[in-house]
Amino acid sequence: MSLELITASAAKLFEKDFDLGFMRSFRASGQHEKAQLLRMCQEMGWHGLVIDEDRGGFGYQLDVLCALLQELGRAAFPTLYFSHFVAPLLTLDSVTGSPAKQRLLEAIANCESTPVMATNSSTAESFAGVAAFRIEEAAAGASICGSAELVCDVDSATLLIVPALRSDGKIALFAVEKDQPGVHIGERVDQAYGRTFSVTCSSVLVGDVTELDVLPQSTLRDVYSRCAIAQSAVLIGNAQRAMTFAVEHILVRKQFGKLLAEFQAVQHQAADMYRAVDVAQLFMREALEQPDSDGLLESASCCKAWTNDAAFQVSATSHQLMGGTGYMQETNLQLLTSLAIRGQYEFGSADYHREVVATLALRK
Amino acid sequence: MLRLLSDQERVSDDRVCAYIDEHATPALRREAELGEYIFGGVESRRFIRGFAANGWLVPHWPAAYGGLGATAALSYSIREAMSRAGIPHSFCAAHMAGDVLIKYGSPYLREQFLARIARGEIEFAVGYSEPGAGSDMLALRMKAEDCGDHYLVNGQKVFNTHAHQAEYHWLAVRTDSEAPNHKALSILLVDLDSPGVTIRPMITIAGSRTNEVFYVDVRVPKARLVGEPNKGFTYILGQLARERLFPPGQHLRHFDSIVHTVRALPDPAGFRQRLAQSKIELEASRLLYERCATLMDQGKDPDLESSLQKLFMSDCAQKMSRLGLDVSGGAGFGPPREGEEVNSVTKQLANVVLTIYGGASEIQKNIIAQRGMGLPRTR
Repeated sequence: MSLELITASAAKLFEKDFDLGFMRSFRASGQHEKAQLLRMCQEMGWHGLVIDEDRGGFGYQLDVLCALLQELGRAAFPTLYFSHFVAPLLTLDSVTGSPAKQRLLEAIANCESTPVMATNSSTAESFAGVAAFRIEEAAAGASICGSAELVCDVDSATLLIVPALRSDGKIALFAVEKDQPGVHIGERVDQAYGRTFSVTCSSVLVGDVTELDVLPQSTLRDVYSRCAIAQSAVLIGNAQRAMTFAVEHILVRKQFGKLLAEFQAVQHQAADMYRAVDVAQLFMREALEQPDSDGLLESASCCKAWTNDAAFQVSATSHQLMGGTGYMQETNLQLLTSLAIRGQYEFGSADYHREVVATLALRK
Repeated sequence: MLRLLSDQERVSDDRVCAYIDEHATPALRREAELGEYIFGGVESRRFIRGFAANGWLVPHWPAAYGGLGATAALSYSIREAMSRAGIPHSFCAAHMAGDVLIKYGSPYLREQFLARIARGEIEFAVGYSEPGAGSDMLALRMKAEDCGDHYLVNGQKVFNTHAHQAEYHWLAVRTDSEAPNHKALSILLVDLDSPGVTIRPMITIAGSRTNEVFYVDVRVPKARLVGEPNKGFTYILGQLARERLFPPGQHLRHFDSIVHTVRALPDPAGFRQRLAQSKIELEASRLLYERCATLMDQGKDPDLESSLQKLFMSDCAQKMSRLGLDVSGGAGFGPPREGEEVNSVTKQLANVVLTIYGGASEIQKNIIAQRGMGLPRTR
């Protein structure tokens, strides 16, 4: 599969069988079509995009993944692809040589396992397990304790990947079955996030679950940066589609005897959207070229901070230009807006990433 | 240094930076800051002659005209290095008009001007704006009457920065009173000491000088017509795409001084978010700048992309100068501190013009909306 083929086939699929009407009904119906979407991801081979070829995947890098994610963003695709096949696989990519990892990758590539990261991905600290899970020593042996909120797509997952902080400051990464004794899963629904879950581990014995690897926190920080870049790709796709709707609207809608697009004030709003999205794409491409460490951290944070703001700006402007029409649940714009609002907090808010940039800038 | 340079170009770029480090004096930097980084002052001329002797002023020009035949990437990287060093980096003749002369100028004009431009011996002042024609350049009225072997020029220009220091005027005039505006303009290259030319100072809010230039029955030989008559607007559009490119270096330099000030604050927490936002926007400006160089090396005209860069860089610089003043507090109104050429308030005042000259931000947005998004012309 070439990059062009991946994106072209995705675009065709989303135009024909899984258009925005489908995504709207998915969102409204309580996610009855979730299994269908998951199966589609697997049939298209997207689940194995970044898994090595010798483990049954395609062996692509993050740049190809981001190209697909942009298409998913344009299609207002729900979070399940990201939850199952982006964050977990980018995390597993940081695990070095563990046989358990290799088995898990093969299981994912063979559609036998559908993992999800048991993390609240809105801040780097919780992603790395610092705030969410920790290893506690007890008479019965070491166990995993803690909980993570706002975890997406636990319902469609078969496996939890749990990062937990050890007493030496490193992160142990575990593969935990959902029905493991001590694991409790709660559910909540809200307007922006839709259906999300809490994952609580109450004394889950380490000896009873699979340890994938032990990593320094800096490694998971790099994973978090890559996930932030990937999430930016989704947001860029969201924003591109929203902008398209707004432009289509102002090219046909007449007010005061002329097209909205002929008003200079409207053109300037459109130009501001274009600029925001154009720069977001440049940031994403730049971030994709960075190796690990500070270069990646700064570049990813610049990318996510800018893209978050750009997504918000495009959403707000598109609604302003489309008027009351875009506010209704029967339109596609509101779907993109809901996803964009959510995506702005996945893998770091703009303020969070600006703090990272500030810290790096002020470091002597 | 632009990241897209080849290894060989990086060596050249390093040599340029070393030369600048060795020869750029505080006096040159101060003159540059007060002169809006345009070439023409005493210190600039002293510096640039040595600099240009290496072919670095116009590296992308063919060797026959005094360049190095280098890529646009190297050329723009060198300008970025000059900008970063706080020395003049915006040259009307070398960076804007020269390319038009190479493409459209007569053999006579090329021979007369290109080598001298490349050596840093002469400079042009841009003569476009008039009291009734700013962003709407097609409204310009300065008239050049065809008198056989010469044009007779009458009218007034305004905001012609460095007209008092340049040798020549890159002058847009109306040569056809009947044709549609876009087919009625021509470019003349005029000696600024010609009889009938009067240059008067206009002092800006930041204390720097620009000029109004009056033409009363000025005779300009026909040999000084650039390209064909009445095609001036086409040439201007091509040149503006280059004029719009703002090397981010001088603003990175400003950013460094702001960081220095913030580090010394007892509690910098209130400035961290704005500082980071400035850094992000500077980074975006750099990426936009690099993209334009890449497009030029691909043989494309970065019309839309240079508008994006100009719009972005000017906006970013204005916000950053406000941050600089906020961070400095009262000290921003005092004498410049170490590492600063001017104080923070002067910097903020000087940056007011960034969103106005070279095509106001509103013009750039029109270009983006119409060329980038396919929206119709406004009516």
